[in-house]
Amino acid sequence: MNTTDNNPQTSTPKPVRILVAEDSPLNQQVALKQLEKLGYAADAVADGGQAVEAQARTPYDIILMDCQMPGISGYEATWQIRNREQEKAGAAEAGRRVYIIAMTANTQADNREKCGAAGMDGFISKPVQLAELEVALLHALADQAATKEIDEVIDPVIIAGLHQLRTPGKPDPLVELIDLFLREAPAQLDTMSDAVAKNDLSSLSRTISAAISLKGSAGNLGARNLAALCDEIEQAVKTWMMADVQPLIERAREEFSRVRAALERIKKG
Amino acid sequence: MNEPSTFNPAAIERLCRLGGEKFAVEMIDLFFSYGAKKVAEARQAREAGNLTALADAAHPLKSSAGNVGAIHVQELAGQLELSAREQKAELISAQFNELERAFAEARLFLESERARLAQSPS
Repeated sequence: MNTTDNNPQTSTPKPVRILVAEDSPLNQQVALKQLEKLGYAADAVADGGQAVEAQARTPYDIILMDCQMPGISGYEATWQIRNREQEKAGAAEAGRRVYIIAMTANTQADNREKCGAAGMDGFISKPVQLAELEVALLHALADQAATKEIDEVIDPVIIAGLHQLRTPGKPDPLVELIDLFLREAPAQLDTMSDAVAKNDLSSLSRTISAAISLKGSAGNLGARNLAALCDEIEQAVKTWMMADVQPLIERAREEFSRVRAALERIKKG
Repeated sequence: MNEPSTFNPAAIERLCRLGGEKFAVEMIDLFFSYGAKKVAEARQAREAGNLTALADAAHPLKSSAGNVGAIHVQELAGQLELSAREQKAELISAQFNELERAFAEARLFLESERARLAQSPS
Protein backbone atom coordinates (compact mmCIF):
# COMPACT_ATOMS: atom_id res chain seq x y z
CA MET A 1 0.00 0.00 0.00
CA ASN A 2 1.34 3.40 -0.89
CA THR A 3 -1.14 6.03 0.12
CA THR A 4 -0.48 9.53 -1.10
CA ASP A 5 -2.04 12.82 -0.07
CA ASN A 6 -4.17 12.65 -3.22
CA ASN A 7 -5.62 9.29 -2.43
CA PRO A 8 -8.65 9.83 -0.21
CA GLN A 9 -9.62 6.92 1.98
CA THR A 10 -13.34 6.36 1.90
CA SER A 11 -13.76 2.80 3.16
CA THR A 12 -14.71 1.74 6.68
CA PRO A 13 -11.97 2.62 9.21
CA LYS A 14 -9.50 -0.18 9.89
CA PRO A 15 -10.18 -2.04 13.16
CA VAL A 16 -7.21 -0.55 14.96
CA ARG A 17 -7.65 1.63 18.02
CA ILE A 18 -5.36 4.64 17.88
CA LEU A 19 -4.87 7.48 20.34
CA VAL A 20 -3.13 10.74 19.48
CA ALA A 21 -1.59 12.53 22.48
CA GLU A 22 -0.53 15.99 21.31
CA ASP A 23 -0.93 19.37 22.99
CA SER A 24 -0.81 21.57 19.88
CA PRO A 25 -4.36 21.60 18.48
CA LEU A 26 -2.94 22.28 15.03
CA ASN A 27 -0.61 19.26 15.13
CA GLN A 28 -3.39 17.19 16.65
CA GLN A 29 -5.85 18.06 13.87
CA VAL A 30 -3.26 17.36 11.19
CA ALA A 31 -2.40 13.99 12.75
CA LEU A 32 -6.08 13.01 12.95
CA LYS A 33 -6.61 14.02 9.33
CA GLN A 34 -3.54 12.06 8.25
CA LEU A 35 -4.80 8.99 10.10
CA GLU A 36 -8.21 9.42 8.48
CA LYS A 37 -6.50 9.61 5.09
CA LEU A 38 -4.68 6.35 5.85
CA GLY A 39 -7.96 4.71 6.82
CA TYR A 40 -7.75 4.83 10.61
CA ALA A 41 -10.16 6.35 13.09
CA ALA A 42 -8.50 7.83 16.17
CA ASP A 43 -9.16 9.63 19.44
CA ALA A 44 -7.10 12.55 20.68
CA VAL A 45 -6.00 13.97 24.02
CA ALA A 46 -3.91 17.03 24.85
CA ASP A 47 -1.48 15.89 27.54
CA GLY A 48 0.26 12.91 29.07
CA GLY A 49 -2.10 12.58 32.03
CA GLN A 50 -5.08 12.35 29.71
CA ALA A 51 -3.21 9.77 27.63
CA VAL A 52 -2.65 7.56 30.69
CA GLU A 53 -6.33 7.87 31.68
CA ALA A 54 -7.53 7.19 28.14
CA GLN A 55 -5.37 4.07 27.86
CA ALA A 56 -6.75 2.82 31.19
CA ARG A 57 -10.31 3.27 29.88
CA THR A 58 -9.78 2.01 26.33
CA PRO A 59 -7.02 -0.44 25.50
CA TYR A 60 -5.64 1.28 22.42
CA ASP A 61 -3.51 -0.69 19.97
CA ILE A 62 -1.29 2.26 19.08
CA ILE A 63 -0.57 5.61 20.72
CA LEU A 64 1.04 8.47 18.82
CA MET A 65 2.71 10.24 21.73
CA ASP A 66 4.10 13.75 21.64
CA CYS A 67 7.18 13.73 23.87
CA GLN A 68 6.96 17.23 25.31
CA MET A 69 3.53 18.14 26.60
CA PRO A 70 2.48 20.34 29.52
CA GLY A 71 2.00 18.57 32.84
CA ILE A 72 2.86 14.93 32.36
CA SER A 73 5.24 14.58 29.40
CA GLY A 74 5.03 11.84 26.80
CA TYR A 75 8.01 10.11 28.43
CA GLU A 76 6.37 10.07 31.87
CA ALA A 77 3.03 8.98 30.41
CA THR A 78 4.71 6.09 28.59
CA TRP A 79 6.48 5.05 31.77
CA GLN A 80 3.17 5.05 33.67
CA ILE A 81 1.42 3.05 30.94
CA ARG A 82 4.23 0.46 30.89
CA ASN A 83 4.13 0.18 34.69
CA ARG A 84 0.40 -0.42 34.58
CA GLU A 85 0.86 -3.10 31.93
CA GLN A 86 3.40 -4.83 34.18
CA GLU A 87 1.07 -4.65 37.18
CA LYS A 88 -1.79 -6.11 35.15
CA ALA A 89 0.38 -8.95 33.94
CA GLY A 90 1.49 -9.63 37.49
CA ALA A 91 -2.12 -9.74 38.64
CA ALA A 92 -2.88 -12.23 35.84
CA GLU A 93 -5.28 -9.83 34.14
CA ALA A 94 -5.41 -10.00 30.38
CA GLY A 95 -2.26 -8.03 29.65
CA ARG A 96 -1.66 -6.36 26.29
CA ARG A 97 1.14 -4.06 25.32
CA VAL A 98 0.19 -0.89 23.49
CA TYR A 99 2.59 0.11 20.71
CA ILE A 100 3.74 3.67 21.40
CA ILE A 101 5.13 5.83 18.61
CA ALA A 102 7.00 8.92 19.76
CA MET A 103 6.34 12.14 17.87
CA THR A 104 9.28 14.42 18.44
CA ALA A 105 10.46 17.78 17.20
CA ASN A 106 14.06 16.51 17.11
CA THR A 107 15.65 18.54 19.84
CA GLN A 108 18.26 17.68 22.40
CA ALA A 109 15.46 17.19 24.90
CA ASP A 110 13.74 14.50 22.87
CA ASN A 111 15.69 11.90 21.00
CA ARG A 112 15.48 8.26 20.05
CA GLU A 113 17.51 6.96 23.00
CA LYS A 114 15.34 8.77 25.50
CA CYS A 115 12.20 7.52 23.76
CA GLY A 116 13.45 3.93 23.80
CA ALA A 117 14.45 4.18 27.45
CA ALA A 118 10.97 5.45 28.33
CA GLY A 119 9.40 2.37 26.73
CA MET A 120 8.39 3.80 23.36
CA ASP A 121 8.56 1.48 20.37
CA GLY A 122 8.65 3.76 17.32
CA PHE A 123 9.78 7.25 16.45
CA ILE A 124 8.62 9.86 13.94
CA SER A 125 9.65 13.47 13.49
CA LYS A 126 7.40 16.53 13.56
CA PRO A 127 5.94 17.99 11.51
CA VAL A 128 4.72 14.48 10.74
CA GLN A 129 4.81 13.49 7.06
CA LEU A 130 2.07 11.19 5.80
CA ALA A 131 4.46 8.62 4.30
CA GLU A 132 6.53 8.47 7.47
CA LEU A 133 3.39 8.02 9.55
CA GLU A 134 2.18 5.23 7.28
CA VAL A 135 5.47 3.34 7.59
CA ALA A 136 5.47 3.72 11.38
CA LEU A 137 1.92 2.36 11.58
CA LEU A 138 2.79 -0.61 9.38
CA HIS A 139 5.73 -1.38 11.67
CA ALA A 140 3.40 -1.18 14.65
CA LEU A 141 0.86 -3.53 13.10
CA ALA A 142 3.55 -6.03 12.06
CA ASP A 143 4.92 -5.99 15.59
CA GLN A 144 1.46 -6.57 17.05
CA ALA A 145 0.80 -9.46 14.64
CA ALA A 146 4.06 -11.09 15.75
CA THR A 147 3.11 -10.59 19.40
CA LYS A 148 -0.28 -12.17 18.79
CA GLU A 149 1.41 -15.14 17.15
CA ILE A 150 3.63 -15.60 20.21
CA ASP A 151 0.68 -15.19 22.57
CA GLU A 152 -1.09 -18.10 20.86
CA VAL A 153 1.81 -20.39 21.77
CA ILE A 154 3.15 -18.91 25.02
CA ASP A 155 1.02 -17.51 27.84
CA PRO A 156 2.06 -13.80 28.08
CA VAL A 157 1.04 -13.62 31.75
CA ILE A 158 3.59 -16.32 32.65
CA ILE A 159 6.31 -14.54 30.67
CA ALA A 160 5.46 -11.20 32.30
CA GLY A 161 5.73 -12.88 35.71
CA LEU A 162 9.14 -14.32 34.83
CA HIS A 163 10.28 -10.91 33.54
CA GLN A 164 9.63 -9.52 37.01
CA LEU A 165 12.23 -11.88 38.50
CA ARG A 166 15.00 -9.94 36.79
CA THR A 167 17.61 -8.41 39.08
CA PRO A 168 19.96 -5.67 37.84
CA GLY A 169 23.51 -6.93 37.32
CA LYS A 170 22.50 -10.59 37.32
CA PRO A 171 21.72 -12.99 34.45
CA ASP A 172 18.11 -12.82 33.31
CA PRO A 173 16.34 -15.87 34.86
CA LEU A 174 13.85 -15.93 31.97
CA VAL A 175 16.65 -16.29 29.43
CA GLU A 176 18.30 -18.99 31.54
CA LEU A 177 15.01 -20.87 31.83
CA ILE A 178 14.39 -20.63 28.08
CA ASP A 179 17.92 -21.84 27.25
CA LEU A 180 17.57 -24.78 29.62
CA PHE A 181 14.18 -25.69 28.20
CA LEU A 182 15.38 -25.49 24.59
CA ARG A 183 18.35 -27.74 25.45
CA GLU A 184 16.36 -30.40 27.30
CA ALA A 185 13.02 -30.57 25.47
CA PRO A 186 14.31 -32.20 22.23
CA ALA A 187 15.98 -34.97 24.28
CA GLN A 188 12.76 -35.57 26.19
CA LEU A 189 10.79 -35.85 22.95
CA ASP A 190 13.41 -38.28 21.59
CA THR A 191 13.20 -40.32 24.80
CA MET A 192 9.43 -40.63 24.34
CA SER A 193 9.73 -41.68 20.69
CA ASP A 194 12.48 -44.24 21.36
CA ALA A 195 10.70 -45.71 24.34
CA VAL A 196 7.38 -46.06 22.53
CA ALA A 197 9.16 -47.80 19.66
CA LYS A 198 10.54 -50.42 22.06
CA ASN A 199 7.11 -50.89 23.65
CA ASP A 200 8.23 -52.72 26.82
CA LEU A 201 7.29 -51.94 30.37
CA SER A 202 10.44 -50.04 31.41
CA SER A 203 10.39 -48.03 28.19
CA LEU A 204 6.81 -47.00 28.79
CA SER A 205 7.78 -45.88 32.26
CA ARG A 206 10.51 -43.71 30.67
CA THR A 207 7.90 -42.25 28.30
CA ILE A 208 5.69 -41.29 31.21
CA SER A 209 8.64 -39.73 33.07
CA ALA A 210 9.72 -37.73 30.02
CA ALA A 211 6.14 -36.59 29.35
CA ILE A 212 5.68 -35.46 32.96
CA SER A 213 9.03 -33.66 32.94
CA LEU A 214 8.35 -31.86 29.66
CA LYS A 215 4.83 -31.00 30.78
CA GLY A 216 6.26 -29.33 33.87
CA SER A 217 8.99 -27.35 32.11
CA ALA A 218 6.63 -26.33 29.27
CA GLY A 219 4.06 -25.21 31.83
CA ASN A 220 6.68 -23.18 33.71
CA LEU A 221 7.32 -21.18 30.53
CA GLY A 222 3.64 -20.81 29.64
CA ALA A 223 3.78 -23.22 26.67
CA ARG A 224 0.26 -24.34 27.47
CA ASN A 225 -0.50 -26.30 24.26
CA LEU A 226 2.73 -28.27 24.56
CA ALA A 227 2.06 -28.97 28.23
CA ALA A 228 -1.44 -30.19 27.36
CA LEU A 229 -0.07 -32.52 24.66
CA CYS A 230 2.44 -33.95 27.13
CA ASP A 231 -0.43 -34.58 29.53
CA GLU A 232 -2.32 -36.40 26.77
CA ILE A 233 0.77 -38.54 26.07
CA GLU A 234 1.09 -39.39 29.76
CA GLN A 235 -2.59 -40.35 30.00
CA ALA A 236 -2.49 -42.37 26.76
CA VAL A 237 0.46 -44.44 27.97
CA LYS A 238 -1.06 -44.94 31.41
CA THR A 239 -4.30 -46.20 29.87
CA TRP A 240 -2.53 -48.36 27.24
CA MET A 241 -3.93 -46.35 24.31
CA MET A 242 -0.68 -47.05 22.50
CA ALA A 243 -1.99 -46.32 18.99
CA ASP A 244 -2.51 -42.72 20.07
CA VAL A 245 0.90 -42.15 21.55
CA GLN A 246 3.17 -41.77 18.50
CA PRO A 247 0.81 -39.33 16.71
CA LEU A 248 0.62 -37.34 19.95
CA ILE A 249 4.42 -37.23 20.14
CA GLU A 250 4.55 -35.98 16.53
CA ARG A 251 2.06 -33.25 17.40
CA ALA A 252 4.18 -32.38 20.44
CA ARG A 253 7.25 -32.06 18.16
CA GLU A 254 5.36 -29.71 15.85
CA GLU A 255 4.16 -27.66 18.79
CA PHE A 256 7.69 -27.59 20.19
CA SER A 257 8.89 -26.02 16.89
CA ARG A 258 6.36 -23.20 17.36
CA VAL A 259 7.31 -22.84 21.03
CA ARG A 260 11.01 -22.67 20.16
CA ALA A 261 10.40 -19.93 17.56
CA ALA A 262 8.26 -17.96 20.04
CA LEU A 263 10.79 -18.30 22.86
CA GLU A 264 13.67 -17.22 20.60
CA ARG A 265 11.71 -14.06 19.78
CA ILE A 266 10.91 -13.48 23.45
CA LYS A 267 14.63 -13.78 24.24
CA LYS A 268 15.44 -11.12 21.65
CA GLY A 269 12.92 -8.86 23.41
CA MET B 1 8.41 39.24 2.46
CA ASN B 2 7.67 35.99 0.62
CA GLU B 3 11.22 34.72 0.45
CA PRO B 4 11.60 31.04 -0.25
CA SER B 5 13.60 30.44 2.93
CA THR B 6 10.98 32.16 5.11
CA PHE B 7 7.90 30.27 4.00
CA ASN B 8 7.26 26.90 2.47
CA PRO B 9 4.13 27.15 0.28
CA ALA B 10 4.31 23.37 -0.24
CA ALA B 11 3.14 22.95 3.35
CA ILE B 12 -0.16 24.72 2.56
CA GLU B 13 -0.55 22.65 -0.58
CA ARG B 14 0.04 19.53 1.50
CA LEU B 15 -2.71 20.58 3.92
CA CYS B 16 -5.04 21.14 0.95
CA ARG B 17 -4.30 17.68 -0.43
CA LEU B 18 -4.80 16.20 3.01
CA GLY B 19 -8.13 17.74 3.86
CA GLY B 20 -9.13 20.25 1.20
CA GLU B 21 -8.97 24.06 1.16
CA LYS B 22 -11.42 24.39 4.04
CA PHE B 23 -9.21 22.23 6.25
CA ALA B 24 -6.13 24.25 5.25
CA VAL B 25 -7.94 27.48 6.18
CA GLU B 26 -8.91 25.96 9.55
CA MET B 27 -5.28 25.02 10.20
CA ILE B 28 -4.09 28.53 9.31
CA ASP B 29 -6.69 29.96 11.71
CA LEU B 30 -5.53 27.55 14.40
CA PHE B 31 -1.96 28.69 13.84
CA PHE B 32 -3.03 32.31 14.27
CA SER B 33 -4.83 31.67 17.56
CA TYR B 34 -2.56 28.99 19.04
CA GLY B 35 0.62 30.64 17.77
CA ALA B 36 -0.40 34.01 19.22
CA LYS B 37 -1.15 32.31 22.55
CA LYS B 38 2.27 30.65 22.63
CA VAL B 39 4.06 33.87 21.65
CA ALA B 40 2.21 35.64 24.49
CA GLU B 41 3.17 32.86 26.92
CA ALA B 42 6.78 33.11 25.77
CA ARG B 43 6.70 36.89 26.33
CA GLN B 44 5.31 36.47 29.83
CA ALA B 45 7.89 33.80 30.63
CA ARG B 46 10.70 36.02 29.36
CA GLU B 47 9.49 38.94 31.46
CA ALA B 48 9.26 36.66 34.49
CA GLY B 49 12.71 35.23 33.77
CA ASN B 50 11.21 31.73 33.67
CA LEU B 51 13.35 29.96 31.09
CA THR B 52 11.61 26.60 31.50
CA ALA B 53 8.23 28.13 30.72
CA LEU B 54 9.81 30.00 27.83
CA ALA B 55 11.15 26.77 26.34
CA ASP B 56 7.79 25.07 26.90
CA ALA B 57 6.03 27.87 25.00
CA ALA B 58 8.53 27.92 22.13
CA HIS B 59 8.50 24.13 21.65
CA PRO B 60 4.92 23.62 20.36
CA LEU B 61 5.16 26.84 18.34
CA LYS B 62 8.05 25.28 16.46
CA SER B 63 6.25 22.14 15.32
CA SER B 64 2.95 23.95 14.68
CA ALA B 65 4.75 26.47 12.47
CA GLY B 66 6.24 23.60 10.48
CA ASN B 67 2.77 22.30 9.64
CA VAL B 68 1.77 25.60 7.96
CA GLY B 69 5.15 26.18 6.33
CA ALA B 70 6.22 29.10 8.52
CA ILE B 71 9.86 28.03 8.31
CA HIS B 72 11.37 31.15 9.84
CA VAL B 73 9.08 30.94 12.88
CA GLN B 74 9.89 27.24 13.14
CA GLU B 75 13.64 27.89 13.12
CA LEU B 76 13.53 30.84 15.51
CA ALA B 77 11.23 29.04 17.95
CA GLY B 78 13.69 26.12 17.89
CA GLN B 79 16.64 28.44 18.60
CA LEU B 80 14.76 30.17 21.40
CA GLU B 81 13.76 26.85 22.94
CA LEU B 82 17.36 25.64 22.84
CA SER B 83 18.72 28.84 24.39
CA ALA B 84 16.11 28.68 27.15
CA ARG B 85 16.80 25.02 27.90
CA GLU B 86 20.54 25.69 27.99
CA GLN B 87 19.96 28.71 30.25
CA LYS B 88 21.63 31.08 27.78
CA ALA B 89 19.76 34.08 29.12
CA GLU B 90 21.92 36.58 27.21
CA LEU B 91 20.53 35.30 23.86
CA ILE B 92 16.88 35.27 24.84
CA SER B 93 15.83 38.88 24.28
CA ALA B 94 17.19 39.22 20.75
CA GLN B 95 15.87 35.80 19.75
CA PHE B 96 12.44 36.49 21.18
CA ASN B 97 12.19 39.87 19.39
CA GLU B 98 13.17 38.21 16.14
CA LEU B 99 10.58 35.49 16.72
CA GLU B 100 7.85 38.07 17.30
CA ARG B 101 8.77 39.79 14.03
CA ALA B 102 8.82 36.48 12.18
CA PHE B 103 5.42 35.54 13.59
CA ALA B 104 3.96 38.88 12.41
CA GLU B 105 5.45 38.28 8.94
CA ALA B 106 4.08 34.74 8.90
CA ARG B 107 0.65 36.12 9.73
CA LEU B 108 0.80 38.46 6.76
CA PHE B 109 1.88 35.71 4.40
CA LEU B 110 -0.67 33.25 5.73
CA GLU B 111 -3.45 35.87 5.62
CA SER B 112 -2.86 36.13 1.87
CA GLU B 113 -2.78 32.35 1.54
CA ARG B 114 -5.97 32.14 3.56
CA ALA B 115 -7.71 34.69 1.33
CA ARG B 116 -6.62 32.79 -1.79
CA LEU B 117 -7.87 29.48 -0.38
CA ALA B 118 -11.14 30.95 0.87
CA GLN B 119 -11.91 32.06 -2.71
CA SER B 120 -11.11 28.61 -4.14
CA PRO B 121 -14.08 26.37 -4.90
CA SER B 122 -13.84 23.46 -2.48
